[in-house]
Amino acid sequence: MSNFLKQSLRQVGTFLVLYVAWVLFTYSFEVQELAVGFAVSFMVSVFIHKYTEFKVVDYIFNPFKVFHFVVYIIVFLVVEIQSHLSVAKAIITGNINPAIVKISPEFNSDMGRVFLANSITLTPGTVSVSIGKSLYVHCLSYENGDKIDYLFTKYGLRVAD
Amino acid sequence: MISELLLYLSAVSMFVGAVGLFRFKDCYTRIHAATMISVGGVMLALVALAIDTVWTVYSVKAMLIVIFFMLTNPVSSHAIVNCAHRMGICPDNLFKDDLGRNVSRRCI
Repeated sequence: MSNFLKQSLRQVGTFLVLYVAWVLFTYSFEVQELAVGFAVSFMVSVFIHKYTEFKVVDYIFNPFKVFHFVVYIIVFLVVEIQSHLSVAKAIITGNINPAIVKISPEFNSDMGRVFLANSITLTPGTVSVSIGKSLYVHCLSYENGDKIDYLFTKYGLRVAD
Repeated sequence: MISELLLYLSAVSMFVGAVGLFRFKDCYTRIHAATMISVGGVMLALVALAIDTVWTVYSVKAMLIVIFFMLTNPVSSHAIVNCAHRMGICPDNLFKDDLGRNVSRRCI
């Protein structure tokens, strides 16, 4: 019963997020548009929770997770700027040192691993080639002993595990 | 003022990325230049738009598009690179290769 309640609460949360996104995208408050948005987000939330284990809602409605996520975004932006500069330098000078590196993520859940792989791919200079239990990353300029995922793992473990 | 600065930065970033697309020789290194265009170029331009039209509907929509972009862009680049690796396209001059020869047979 409590499991059922938890699942329904999750579904309501997904519905709310989808509906807010719909309203922000259309930004008109006529009855027709609101009704269509209601129907579509209801159907999508039912579909999501029937076929997948979608748990992002647990993170969105948890203030601590949101705070850690904001910290993570700031760290991520700094890393992004650094890697942009280094890739621009590599393009202009032509000095590259490509490598495929294996990373064993410390994240237990699938969502954490996707989080890490997305962050790695979103920074220029590193792209994840293959994802399984371990992660294979193609780096543009690599030196021995570089830890690509150090900051992402350190701050990401507080958001997702 | 800030939005103009961001637009100039995005233009520079797009230009450098486009140069990189021609300078690098294999598909794995070209993806890095393409990421530089899509993240540094497009997303900075969208953020500049959001700052320029702040406190209106358009800025909210631009930020929503930025979030959508952050979710979908890594998926597409990962799909391209993974597909290239499965097809057996070899990366050039690797300094270190942990993935090695177990997936792409043509590299042996």
